[in-house]
Amino acid sequence: MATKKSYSPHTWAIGQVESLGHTTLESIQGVGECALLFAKAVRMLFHPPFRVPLLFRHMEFIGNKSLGVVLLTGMFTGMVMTFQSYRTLKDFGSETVVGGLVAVSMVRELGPVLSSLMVTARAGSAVAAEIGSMRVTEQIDALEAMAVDPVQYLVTPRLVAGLLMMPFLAVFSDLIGVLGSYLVGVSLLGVDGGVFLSKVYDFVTFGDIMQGTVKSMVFGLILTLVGSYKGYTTQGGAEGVGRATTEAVVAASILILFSDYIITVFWQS
Amino acid sequence: MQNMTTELKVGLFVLAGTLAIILSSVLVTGWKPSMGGSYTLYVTVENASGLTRGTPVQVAGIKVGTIQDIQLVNGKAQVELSMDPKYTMYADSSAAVRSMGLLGDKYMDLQPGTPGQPPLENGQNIGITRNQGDLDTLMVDAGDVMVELKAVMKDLAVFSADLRQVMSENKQEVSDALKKLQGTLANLDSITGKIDRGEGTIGRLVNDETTIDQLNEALVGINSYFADAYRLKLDIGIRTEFLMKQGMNKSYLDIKLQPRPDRWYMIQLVDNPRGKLTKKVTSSTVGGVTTVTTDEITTYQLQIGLLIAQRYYDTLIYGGLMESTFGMGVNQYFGSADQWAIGLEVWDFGGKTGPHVKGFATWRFFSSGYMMVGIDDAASSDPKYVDAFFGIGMTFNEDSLRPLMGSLPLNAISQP
Repeated sequence: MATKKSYSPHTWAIGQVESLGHTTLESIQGVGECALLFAKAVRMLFHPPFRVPLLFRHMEFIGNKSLGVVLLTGMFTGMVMTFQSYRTLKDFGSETVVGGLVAVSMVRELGPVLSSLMVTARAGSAVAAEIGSMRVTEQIDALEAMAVDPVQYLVTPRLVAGLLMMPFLAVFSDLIGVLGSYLVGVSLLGVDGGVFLSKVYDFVTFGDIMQGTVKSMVFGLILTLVGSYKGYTTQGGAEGVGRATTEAVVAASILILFSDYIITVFWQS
Repeated sequence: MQNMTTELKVGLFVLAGTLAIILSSVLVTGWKPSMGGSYTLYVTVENASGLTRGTPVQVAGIKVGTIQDIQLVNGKAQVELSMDPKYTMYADSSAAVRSMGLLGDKYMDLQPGTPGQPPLENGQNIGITRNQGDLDTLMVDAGDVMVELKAVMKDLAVFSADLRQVMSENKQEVSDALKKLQGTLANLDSITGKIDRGEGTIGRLVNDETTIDQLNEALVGINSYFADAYRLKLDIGIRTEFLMKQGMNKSYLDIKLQPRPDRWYMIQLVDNPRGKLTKKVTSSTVGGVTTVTTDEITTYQLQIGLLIAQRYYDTLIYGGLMESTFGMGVNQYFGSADQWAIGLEVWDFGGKTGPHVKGFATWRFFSSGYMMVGIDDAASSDPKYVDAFFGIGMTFNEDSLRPLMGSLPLNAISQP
């Protein structure tokens, strides 16, 4: 039986600091590798061969197949937002602006962010798992052996698909969210339908739609890139694939929320 | 659906997404393709707070442009407006910064000015800015009011301090005065006590029941005395007489005041178409010779009668002023309720054609209507004036007049 290791509080604290430093270095290294992967993926975008059917398949997977869950999320978000804000607005006698409030929130924030998070959970995890299992089963090495650039074959089409499809998903989410808000506000809470819509048109500006679109493009890029990176750098067997998938979802979600904040702050100027 | 290619599915998705983005953009911007681009106007305002790029510019609540840029020029805000070329502003147009609602967003409100003035071209200034009574100015006003209110409160504080000082300095005097007041109140108490107990003149007056009884009787006496005096009946009569030979109508308005059943007074207004014939003698002296001319003048004016009448049984004798001359008359009544009467009147004793004598018979065919026939001016020296006449008249007593006169209390005092 191995003697029990005795840790002094002193060494324990040092150990914690050490692990913090290790994590930081790893994160920075990860960011750097991620950036390099992104740069290579972009570079490969302009190199033949152009695998258009492959791109379409990823677009279908990220876009079409995520539509259901995104619409469901947007619908319920709009409905709940309407219920919650209506009570507060009623205190100020301005319950008619509930439509405008919900629409602005949906277009600027909730539509892009929530649909991106849903797509991260659905497609980002799948990207990480796919590429990760290819890595652990050495299929990526096989690709290289067949002189197929794995980044161009695996990563580039996914990034493009995320970039292109995410804005559409976000705008569908916006519209279904406003529809849900309309149903709740007009049918259940008794706000006049015409006033509701006119407030929506008054409140939402073209700039809001632009902001939402740009955000969702960035989010689409983030979730595919993080998924690809986590999959690409998977180590260990099936366990490693599972870890990579989890890490991809967590990291992508955090990055989406963080970049949302950054974009919102800098958009104002 | 299973045989849809991936490309088709993705294409449909992208198409739908693009349409959704375009649709929502068009809806929220109210975007219309404007071929003419826009033109620029400048406005200089004192305070551009709340205005940003893209803030709407409105005329009468309709959006005609947006704010393109705001710059600080000579300590004032120069606002650049991007205007829809569909709308023309004129040289006397004016601008104001307004709020939508109490807490709403700011917007630029324009009045387009008078058509006929030269229109503003691209790059020109809107010269006139209006001040609006918005929340900001209201707050400034409220601030002024608060300053004044503070001054008033300060004065009030000084005043109350002064009052306190006066009170404390004159504590002795104040308490003396209060003591005197107590004494006065005690005296008053004893006086009212005496009155209450019936002591002294006033006390007896107040407490003795007989006093009030006597006073009541006296008042009843006075009341009945006045009651007789005011038991006055009022009749108003109108009558017109048609003089058959002369073909003229002579009209009367009688106001009869009857204090007692056997006595009445009458004010009479007569419209006599014959006029009143008077002689006017004028003498003029020209060169020692005096000539006297006599003119006969006929005056047509309302003539006035003031009559007093006294009745003895069925005979009524009356006299006084008749058609502005002295006259008298007698009536004899017959039948129940004086239904029939004959009468004779004589007046204008000094008239040119002798005294005016009028004989007549009257038939009162219902309570307030009567007819009469007679001979007018029967004793005239000029036969053309001797004429038969036919008359018809009505009398209104106070019962029928009451609705007209409202609640005039003619009999009120005599009613028990």
